[in-house]
Amino acid sequence: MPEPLEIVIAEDNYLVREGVRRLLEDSGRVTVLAGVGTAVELLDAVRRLGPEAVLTDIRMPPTHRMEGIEAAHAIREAHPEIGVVVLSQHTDEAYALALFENGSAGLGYLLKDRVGDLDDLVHALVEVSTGGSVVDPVIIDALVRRRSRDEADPFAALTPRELDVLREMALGKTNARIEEALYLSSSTVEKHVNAIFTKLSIPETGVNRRVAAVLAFLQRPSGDPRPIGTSAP
Amino acid sequence: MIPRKAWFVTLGVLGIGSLSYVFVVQGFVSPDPDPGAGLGWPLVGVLPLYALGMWLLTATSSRVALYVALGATGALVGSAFETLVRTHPDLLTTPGYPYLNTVGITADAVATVGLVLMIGAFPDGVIERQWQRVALGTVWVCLLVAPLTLLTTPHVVLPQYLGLSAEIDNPVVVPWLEWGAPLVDDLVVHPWLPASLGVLVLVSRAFTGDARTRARVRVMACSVLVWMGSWVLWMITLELGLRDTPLGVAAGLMTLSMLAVPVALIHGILRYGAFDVADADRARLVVRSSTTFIAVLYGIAVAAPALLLFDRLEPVSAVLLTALAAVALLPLRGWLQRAVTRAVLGDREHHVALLGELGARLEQAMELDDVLARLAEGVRGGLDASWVRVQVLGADGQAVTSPAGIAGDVVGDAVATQDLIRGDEHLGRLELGPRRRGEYDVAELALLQTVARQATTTVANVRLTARLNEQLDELSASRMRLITAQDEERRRIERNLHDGIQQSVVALIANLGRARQRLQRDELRPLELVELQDQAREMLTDLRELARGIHPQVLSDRGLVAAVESRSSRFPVPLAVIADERARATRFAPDIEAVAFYTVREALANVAKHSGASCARVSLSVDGDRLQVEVVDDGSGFSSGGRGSAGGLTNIRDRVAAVSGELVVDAAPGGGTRIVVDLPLSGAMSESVSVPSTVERPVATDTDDLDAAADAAIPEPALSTDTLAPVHRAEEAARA
Repeated sequence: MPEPLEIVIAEDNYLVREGVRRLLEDSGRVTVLAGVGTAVELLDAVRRLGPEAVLTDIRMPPTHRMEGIEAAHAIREAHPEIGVVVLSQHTDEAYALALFENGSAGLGYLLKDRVGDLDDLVHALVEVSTGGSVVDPVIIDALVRRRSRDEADPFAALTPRELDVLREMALGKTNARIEEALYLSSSTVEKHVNAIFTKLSIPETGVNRRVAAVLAFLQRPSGDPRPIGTSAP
Repeated sequence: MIPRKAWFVTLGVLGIGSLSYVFVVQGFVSPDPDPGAGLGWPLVGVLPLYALGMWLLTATSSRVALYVALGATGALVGSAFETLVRTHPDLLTTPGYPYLNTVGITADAVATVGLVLMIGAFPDGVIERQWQRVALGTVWVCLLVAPLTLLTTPHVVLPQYLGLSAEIDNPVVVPWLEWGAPLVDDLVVHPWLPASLGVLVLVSRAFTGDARTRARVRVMACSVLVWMGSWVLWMITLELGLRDTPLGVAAGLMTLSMLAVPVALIHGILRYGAFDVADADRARLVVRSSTTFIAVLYGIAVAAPALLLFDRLEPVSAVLLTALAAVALLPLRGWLQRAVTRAVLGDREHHVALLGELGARLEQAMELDDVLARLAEGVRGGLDASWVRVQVLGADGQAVTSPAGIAGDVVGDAVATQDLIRGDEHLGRLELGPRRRGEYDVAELALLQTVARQATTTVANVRLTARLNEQLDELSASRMRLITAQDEERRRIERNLHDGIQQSVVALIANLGRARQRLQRDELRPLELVELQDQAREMLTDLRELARGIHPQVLSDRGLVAAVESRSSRFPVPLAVIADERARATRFAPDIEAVAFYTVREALANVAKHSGASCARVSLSVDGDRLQVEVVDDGSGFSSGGRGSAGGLTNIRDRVAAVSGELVVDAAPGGGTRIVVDLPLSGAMSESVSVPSTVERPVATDTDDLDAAADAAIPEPALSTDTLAPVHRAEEAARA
């Protein structure tokens, strides 16, 4: 059993904050150093307590807009060794792209639904604390949907099963955990992962970096969208 | 045709010369004791008519004016001849007298002809009937009196009014023509026949002419009848050889009644502009000469009593009488001067009055047709036009028949037109029919321009007010629609919350209760809790979608392009989103972003629901200070008025109008649909800062829906009370 991960939680809703704190501490794999309600308090706590990772809400006082993302950027800049997972209600990919606009290392974007999946949540915190990246599959879906409208786009070539694997990969899962989640054999997962990287023309990379690679690819602008009326159905 | 100026000079020299001679001789050298001679006739009987005639010569081009001047001059020359012969009776015996005599009888004939023609052709020289023209034409024969008498009569025919008789042999008589002597005497020498003809023509015109002629001729006819009556009386006394008092009375009556003729002429000028004296380019001359004329009249009237009674008054009494007359007649002179000025220049004063009055009239008018009617009526009255028509031009530049202002009966073509132009906008046209009397002069046309400018402003204002009212109505309707749409949206949200999520929460509570019971009985399995968790997750997803429907948070947080792109990833039809650099880089005012996003959302909803399109495209671009949003699909399109999207389009239109934007819908059945919305980025509504990131924002308002944003964007400030107030007043006035 590794040392519990030391984290700080930022969430303005008291019930949610305490619920998540209890959930994580009950797991025994995480120590919550502090729970705060605003981004300012968060930055203060990070400076004082030096956690390994931060779990923060996206909307907090005073403006209830994107304080969590701004705080994540600030933390990553001031303390590159601290990972940040942003919890969000927004399924709009725009927020994830905003979070990752300066690079995805040590950053994670999860929907709040994930608090129900303790393993995924803890794993994401561990992943970002080691410089990895985590993206909620919902966001991957949205990005892929947008890209795969263009038949020429590489994403359009991915099979549904490969997309399933991609979603799990985005959560920072190792091949072993993907096998577990999708009830697939080790070789099948490996085959799908290789196919994904080949189809997207992304050079094979370590598990730790492959989410970042996929994200980098997704953030690249797709080919020119098809003009109206110029293509046969 | 002898020029008018030559007439004026000739008659002026002859008349003034004769008058001066008579005045000097009769007044100072050898006053004639004979009643009926003396200064009475030339000064009181003839001089006013002469002065009036000469004045008319300068003031009008009427033929009748020449008749008056000619007749009066003839009378003066005749009077001078008589004075000459009466003061030098020995002339009668000189051998040359028969030839000198022709001057006298010709002068009398000229007087007769001039006055008779004046009487018959009054007031404008137009004689209606053939027989009247023939009758008056025969009068000219009288001018041949000199040769006719010289040829036919054995004795020289002395002038009628000489008052002397002598038998002088006619040295050039042609014996075999002597038979014509009585004829010449009756028809030519005596003025009975021509005078009767003139009176007959005048009276027949006064009684049998059309209404206009009757009205104009009646006063002159009465005056002439009085004059002729006293003239006949006087002739009878002369024929009867009566002398002394009877003759004096008859001569005095005749002389005084002669004054009725100039009075009738003046009446005609004042009453209905006889001789076209009101013709405005002569107006100043007329006033000046009439001032002189009135001064002369006044002088005569003041001097007349003393002169008439010259031989019977002591000098002191004469001076007193004259002074009394001067004082007594002074008000009369003033009145006459004012009356003439008013009659002649009245139009000009009226013009100024017209301008002022028209301004006041137009101010009161609120409706366009009312303005046009008042304008037409005012111009017609002011410029004495037979008709006036004012038309406004429609948007296509064609004259609109209604509303139009028409005064008088429009007959024939317009003789003057004036366009109503404001800036480079052609608002309408003002047309004038012929002037009722004479023609329009430069000053009147200039006045027309001024009036037209004034009217243009009013027409523009009234149009503007009407347009404002229309916009106000449209604005009220659009606001009503927005409020209705907002209410419907609220009901929809309430329904979703009540029927959807609330029921799910109830189910979750029930399931949790059941799980607790099963836990107590140790029957609870982990999978059941996973199911409950999934149930809660579904609720969360539902809530998220609902929140997004109320207001896409990404729009406020990440801007228009991010929000549209985010939408595109959920869109069931392949959708391209193209945004230029400025559109991506700029955060627009919240109301503009809200309207633009709403446009895209509604348009895409239409595409998804109705069009059957295989692909669609959203373009966002910034051009100058305009944001252009274009939504294009390759679907079925629609004909305007068809398909269920009309409601959606109306909503878009309302919201776009609320931020002063423009909406263009380009759709044809089978040809796809193109919706372009053009939104202004500058202006009062978008001056707010792009994103108020540091402003405290209560959580509750964070979920403000789009309708609220669009409502806030309704341009209230543009309709401040200042602008609305006149409109309300206008409406009240209209109601009243």
